[in-house]
Amino acid sequence: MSGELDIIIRKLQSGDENFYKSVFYDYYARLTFFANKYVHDLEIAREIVQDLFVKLYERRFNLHIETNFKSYLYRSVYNSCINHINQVAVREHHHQVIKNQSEEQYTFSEEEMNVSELEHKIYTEIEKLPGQCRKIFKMNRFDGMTNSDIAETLNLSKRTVETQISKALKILRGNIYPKMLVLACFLMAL
Amino acid sequence: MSYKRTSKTSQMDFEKIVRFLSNELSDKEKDDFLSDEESGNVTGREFEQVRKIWETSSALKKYKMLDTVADWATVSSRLKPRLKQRTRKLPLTTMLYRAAIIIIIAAGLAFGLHKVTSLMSGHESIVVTTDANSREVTLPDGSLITLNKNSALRYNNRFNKNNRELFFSGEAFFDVSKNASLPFVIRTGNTTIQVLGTSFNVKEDTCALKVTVVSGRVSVYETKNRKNQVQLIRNQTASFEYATKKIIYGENSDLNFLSWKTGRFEFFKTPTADVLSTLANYFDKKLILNINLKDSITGVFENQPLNEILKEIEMTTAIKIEHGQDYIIVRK
Repeated sequence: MSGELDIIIRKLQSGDENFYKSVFYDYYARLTFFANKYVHDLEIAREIVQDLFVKLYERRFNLHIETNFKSYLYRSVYNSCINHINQVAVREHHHQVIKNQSEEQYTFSEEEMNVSELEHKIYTEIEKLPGQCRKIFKMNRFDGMTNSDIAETLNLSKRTVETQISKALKILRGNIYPKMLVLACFLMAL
Repeated sequence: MSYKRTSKTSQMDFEKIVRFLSNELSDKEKDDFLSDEESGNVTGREFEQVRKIWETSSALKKYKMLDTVADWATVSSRLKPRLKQRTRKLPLTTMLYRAAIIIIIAAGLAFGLHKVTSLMSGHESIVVTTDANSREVTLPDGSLITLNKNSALRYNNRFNKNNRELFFSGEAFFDVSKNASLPFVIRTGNTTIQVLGTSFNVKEDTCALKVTVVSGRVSVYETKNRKNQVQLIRNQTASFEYATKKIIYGENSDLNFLSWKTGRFEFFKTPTADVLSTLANYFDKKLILNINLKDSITGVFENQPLNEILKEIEMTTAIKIEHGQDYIIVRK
């Protein structure tokens, strides 16, 4: 793990724009939605994460990454969100009240990070589903369409739609919880 | 018992789960399903996992609301001035060049120059730099060099007597006169390019040094490790990656590596996005793409102003292009 971190730090310090780009593409969405949970404003969330990447570059010779790169990114975003919340509070003269509140309410939680990570994982796995299956699954989950509506729109039987969705769920479960599956099979084989 | 069940956890159960999750079961069916679930037709954990995926995925439409590509363009432009400065010409060497020019103008201060350019073993240096425009330089051996914008080269007064060595940063096209007894040697950051008599283009990019050969034979090697070397011939190109120190080489497929010098752009079935990015690069603009571009472009533009080129592209594709002092923006 530390070996991997060393490589990442060296890459960051080299200033190689392509490396920054790949990290950005990988993390931008999940960090932004993670920030959005705290600031409840997507524009501000985007700004916070974009600033993080600029700072990452500017301070690349001065990074204190203790655990691993992923939690470092999440923690940095979290801290910026809290700073933002506090600044807004100061501006609104509710300083004391909200500060107390925020200290109680907000501490960085691995759990929140894991929720965001799971969301990201599910999203990327959905994108990897085979064409028709992905389309139908998204119509149901993203667009909130009923299976009958989907069937009508695509001129398919409702049963086909259901089969495709169950196929999607099966694939997703297999890819998102692979270890569990192996373990389950192993236990069953016993 | 267990083997059969594993293979059966499949189709039927998942479809039931889907109908359960879609809330399409009657109350009785629901009860049956749940008790069925407890009795183990679907294991509790499996069901919870599927339910989790089901519920979480309904909130994921939001992922479409972000345009990672566009937002990276914003972030990258905030990094770029700094990235460019750092790699195009190292701040220290830039300062050395500036210092050198001032000293030449002041004249007679050759001694100070020795110190500044001690790398050159203490002989009078000739420095040529460019800012906003490219320019041509003829060297004492008759070689013709076209320096692109923001580039610099330096050689000393023994050039063409004891050696043909020069230091270089930026981008330039070298048309080197033949002299089999005095190899022509170009030193850049970490690499050395050595030739007898040929023509080729050298470009220091953000992450690599690129050499593309037009005629003759060129060798490119890491200055500190001569074994890390490649030999290039006509229409071959090599990239020396600063980070890995690897030299990658092959046939040159970039039709426009000399556009900066010739003002000529040639595209053959080139994806529209690549065409625009080539143009943006050449005209020093930032490219903002608000749509996914699908078509490709084939054609030649010769010494045309940007607005003319963009108009022609607009006419042949279904996109709208605007451009300002710093930007090219593409809309539907």
